[in-house]
Amino acid sequence: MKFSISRDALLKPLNLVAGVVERRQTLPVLSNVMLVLEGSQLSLTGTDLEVELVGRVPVDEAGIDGEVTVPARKLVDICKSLPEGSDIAFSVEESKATVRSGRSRFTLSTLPAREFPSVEEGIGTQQFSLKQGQLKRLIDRTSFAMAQQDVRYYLNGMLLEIRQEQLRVVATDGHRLAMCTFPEALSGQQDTQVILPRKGVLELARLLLAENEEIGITLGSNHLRATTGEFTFTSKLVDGKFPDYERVLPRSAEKVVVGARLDLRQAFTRTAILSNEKYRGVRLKLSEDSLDIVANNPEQETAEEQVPVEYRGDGLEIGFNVSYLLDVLGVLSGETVKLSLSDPNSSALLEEAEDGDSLYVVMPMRL
Amino acid sequence: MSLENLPAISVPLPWQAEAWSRWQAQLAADQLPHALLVSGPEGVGKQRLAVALSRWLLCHAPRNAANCGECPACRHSRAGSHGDWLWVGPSGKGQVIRVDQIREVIAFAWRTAGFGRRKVITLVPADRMNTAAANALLKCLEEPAEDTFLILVTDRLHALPATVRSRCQRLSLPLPEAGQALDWLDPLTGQRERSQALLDLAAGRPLRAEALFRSDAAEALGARRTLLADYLQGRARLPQVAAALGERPLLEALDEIEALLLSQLRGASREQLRGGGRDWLRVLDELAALRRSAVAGANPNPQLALESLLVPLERSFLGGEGGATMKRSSIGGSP
Repeated sequence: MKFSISRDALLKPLNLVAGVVERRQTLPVLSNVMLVLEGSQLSLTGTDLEVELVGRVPVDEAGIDGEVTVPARKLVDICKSLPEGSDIAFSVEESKATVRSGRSRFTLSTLPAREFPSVEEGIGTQQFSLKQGQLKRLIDRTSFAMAQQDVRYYLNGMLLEIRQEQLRVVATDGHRLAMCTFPEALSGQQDTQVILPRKGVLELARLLLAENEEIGITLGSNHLRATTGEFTFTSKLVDGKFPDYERVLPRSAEKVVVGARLDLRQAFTRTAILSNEKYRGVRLKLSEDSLDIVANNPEQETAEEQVPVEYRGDGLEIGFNVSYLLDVLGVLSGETVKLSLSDPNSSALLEEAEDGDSLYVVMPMRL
Repeated sequence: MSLENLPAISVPLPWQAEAWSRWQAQLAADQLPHALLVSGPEGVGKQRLAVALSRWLLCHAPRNAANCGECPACRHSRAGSHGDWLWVGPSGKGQVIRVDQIREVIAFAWRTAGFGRRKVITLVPADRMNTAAANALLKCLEEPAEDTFLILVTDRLHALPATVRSRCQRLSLPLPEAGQALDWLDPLTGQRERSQALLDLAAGRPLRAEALFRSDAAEALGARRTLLADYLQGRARLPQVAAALGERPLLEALDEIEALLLSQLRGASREQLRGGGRDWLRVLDELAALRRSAVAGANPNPQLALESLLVPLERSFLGGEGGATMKRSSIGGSP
């Protein structure tokens, strides 16, 4: 195997791929990155057995095709520390890989590529594509609500659902739920549900940088694969059934409050300072066209805020975890936000006041 | 951890054939339990059995009741890089299996399989799980995901919490019969006498005998064994014995003392047991306590620890010179 490539061209995919490779690995081959040269295309693969990332880049001068694995971290550090604009010549002889650039020369140990665990082709049948920016929006709007190390393993991830040619993503940790629906129809797609594990969601979001470029998604029974010109991302799935989220959406929330998003967000941020540090509870007192937010902590300190809102109806007093409300107000866009409530024991529905594609459900707290 | 240098095809050892064929029948009937607990004395090949079973379960085209050695799954399981096989062993300073590792096991159990087939989790030695880890495992052990198998291996069955034991189907692997073990050792050593000698030194444990043969440690061990036996009969002095044993890592030295005491006790008559036997058992208790604290990360002074065990044994060989000359008061410096 032999090729040469400019340092800057190699560094970009190499950084992406090395991000997947975990530092402390029990299996030596997993701390390596696999390099495969076919014609003038170099692909780099990193994996932690849960997610796999293949980066692709054309080489400047292709020599001999081949495949090999080399220590990921060391190769990244070498490439990073070489001067910008320099060229790298890479070659493998016997079981050593040599990196040459200018007057520098590095010899790296290798492991055979056939020991490298890579996911086989043909993992699924269901395929569709969308813009990277659109996928990123779906993830950004919901991923904060994913559970973390919950014993209900199926909550430690994000549901991707296709139903009646509509793509929808849902995340919940049992206290709040976030849901975002892709506005365009995916024609010809069968109904399906997969749960992408938390790590896969976060890694995928990190990759979606080119807003307007297409990304192809393949769903299988064991994997989800996302493909662009530059990379192929594959993640295992969570083997379980996501709860029926439709049943959680409040149906009879007739008390509708509409308020300015930024005003509400700032008011909640301020009151949060004096809420109980552990439970983060705040009290919302609703009256005609006004919302009072009250927080107090075990030291008997109190914060009170009054926010003008649009509301007609009976008064209501309800408690919430302020972090959950702030998370939602942080990802919503638009001037105004709509909050639908029914009684102090029922969950609240938050959404953008007009044309939102997202819905958020937050459970109340008894204060 | 023996995941290095695996052969292309992992087969069970001859004395494991019965368990093996039962598992095969169970798997054929789709009744292989999802949690298996393999227990038995150290050095009888439990770990090999666990490796063979894991690789056989993962293999895409098992042949002749073992993995094929050729399919991608076998290639990866041989290199230890199979994505659907998680091997968990003790880590860190305390040499325990920590709760973080078990959390990883649980996450692994609920992920889909990379090859879309079975997943296998092997815990060796399972008794090294600390309490938090064992408790975290329970739920997963009871109801793992579909086509997921947990194989627990332990030398010390009762060091595992009852809650874990009761959730597994148990297989106990006793010491193999001497004939079977010798037949297995013969091709390696070339001579029956040599095999016999090794097996004796290894207290009947064939894999330990194999290790002795491969490491050329048999002679040194035999010499120490003789010296220790001499000491018990009052024919060798304490400093000499303590120095010889002190060269070994403490845990191994403890094993050597224990092996000798056990073999002598086994051969003892009832009268002998009534005489000095009780004190010997007390030394064995002390030895077990010492080992526990050493395993748990305490750092006893090896010389002192060995002497505290050896002093009360001096000239107390069962039945020798009146049989009851044991110095009762000198079991001092408990760890």
